[in-house]
Amino acid sequence: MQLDARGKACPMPVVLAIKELEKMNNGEVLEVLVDNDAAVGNLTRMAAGKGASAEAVKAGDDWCVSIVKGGVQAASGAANAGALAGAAGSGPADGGCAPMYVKDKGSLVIAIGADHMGEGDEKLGKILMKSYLFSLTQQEELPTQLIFFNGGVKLTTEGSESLKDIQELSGRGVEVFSCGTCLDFYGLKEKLQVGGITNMYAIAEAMQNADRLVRL
Amino acid sequence: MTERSEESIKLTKLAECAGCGAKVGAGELAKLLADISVLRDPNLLVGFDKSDDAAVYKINDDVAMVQTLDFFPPIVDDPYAFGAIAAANALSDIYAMGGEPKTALNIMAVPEDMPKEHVHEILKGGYAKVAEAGAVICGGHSIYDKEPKYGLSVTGFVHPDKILTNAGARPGDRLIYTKRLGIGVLTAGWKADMLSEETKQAMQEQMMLLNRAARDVMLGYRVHACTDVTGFGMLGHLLEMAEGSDTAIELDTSEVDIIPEAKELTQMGILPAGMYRNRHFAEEKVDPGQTPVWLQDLLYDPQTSGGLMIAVDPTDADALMEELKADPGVQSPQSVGCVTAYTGGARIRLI
Repeated sequence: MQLDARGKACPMPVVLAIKELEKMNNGEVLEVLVDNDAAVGNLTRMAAGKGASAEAVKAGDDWCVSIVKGGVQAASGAANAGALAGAAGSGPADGGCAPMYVKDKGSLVIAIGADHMGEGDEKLGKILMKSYLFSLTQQEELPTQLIFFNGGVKLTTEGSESLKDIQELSGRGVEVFSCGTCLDFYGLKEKLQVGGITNMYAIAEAMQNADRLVRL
Repeated sequence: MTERSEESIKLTKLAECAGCGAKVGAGELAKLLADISVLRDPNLLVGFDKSDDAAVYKINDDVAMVQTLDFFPPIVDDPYAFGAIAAANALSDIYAMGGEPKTALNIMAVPEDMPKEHVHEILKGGYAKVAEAGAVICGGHSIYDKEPKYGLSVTGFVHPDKILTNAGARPGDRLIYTKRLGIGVLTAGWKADMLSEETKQAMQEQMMLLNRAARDVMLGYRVHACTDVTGFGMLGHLLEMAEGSDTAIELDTSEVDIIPEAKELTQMGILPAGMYRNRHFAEEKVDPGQTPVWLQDLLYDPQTSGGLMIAVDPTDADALMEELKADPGVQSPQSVGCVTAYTGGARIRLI
């Protein structure tokens, strides 16, 4: 489904998108063309609130926001796996509007398996990781997904110094998932502050379907 | 979603931006004025450079004149309520300076084909609110425009030693806010026909409520700074207070009284563009801590005819809260945080 909401003042783009999504089935993609940042912010917040995944691609002066209808609020592992798997297969390539405007580089998945970056001194590694996640927020191209596993889940939970950056990425449409087994192992499940919970099946699928995969 | 009858007046449909959400961003304004020089006058006690609510000009040792101007497109559909809200909003700047409104001038733009009775109702609402404030409307100016707009320029008096600016906050002061938050989001919801009649009514009443009672109560206490929360949102106005006073602010987000429907709409992504402008302007000086995005959004939400944000001496804070709570003319006093010494980094910390 496509929706051209350019030229419409807030909150009409998100209102029209909600109406379209109501008519659609889970897994279907709605692409919304908008011409201002506020509409992009509203659409990604609306998608997050509905447990759908959203990706915003800048297209000249406009934005194309692709929303994958994910059904109910992603609370259980199964629902998250569905959302994650659904999103992994639906980069901009599936979309009709994004390729018209931008060179399609496909999906970009960043998998983070530790709370520090690189081998060597761990204290330095933590500083580097914090700086890396901040730098991601400054990039023109945002990743499609961030997956945190093993010690990486310390970054999405209470006490993490990178929460603000990860929350910003999430607010701008980056899907953020933490490995449920890992959260359990570290006793952090109740302390998750950003993104959803996922399982190994979905992680494996997301990695295989990624057009580009960065492993940290 | 609610249906409205065909005959009902849909003033809000005539407005591109609504209420104080239509305000030009603070950053944008600063740029526009950056290279324009102004005459200096020692009697101008508070001028535009202080980014305060109103200008204050000293007439003699006992009287200073407080001046402000505020107008905007329709924020509600009922013309009478729109007029009253615009007036309450304009008068609020006088109250925020600790002043008493005396005279007011109408500023009005109406479409040529707008029914005369609607125009009449807008003015009626404005006159009634100004009368309630004990001030007089003594003239004004109207023009034709595609989009209706209404507001007032208000002049008031204040004792030169008792001016409350947003720049007087001291470390240790407690912060008290007097109205509920979420008007900008509700305005967006209204434009999308997503509000119940009860919510519209409550929102309208909140915006029509004068800050007069809150001002009268606060004058009895050692208040160091005051501002009204309007177009720049709670965080935007708090940032002006923190920077103006060279202090930092800790905002206890759990104490902020959020309108429940506004929270729901925020989580659905129904947010006014003004929220994003406010966020963009202030967020690098705000440490959000663990505050969820929806709550941050509401703290950046532009308010129309918002409440007073009062920085009061800590020894007076409890007594002021008690008296505000006991006053039926004050909607919802909340002790929302405190002023701290600024030691670098973020000006505002959300806890």
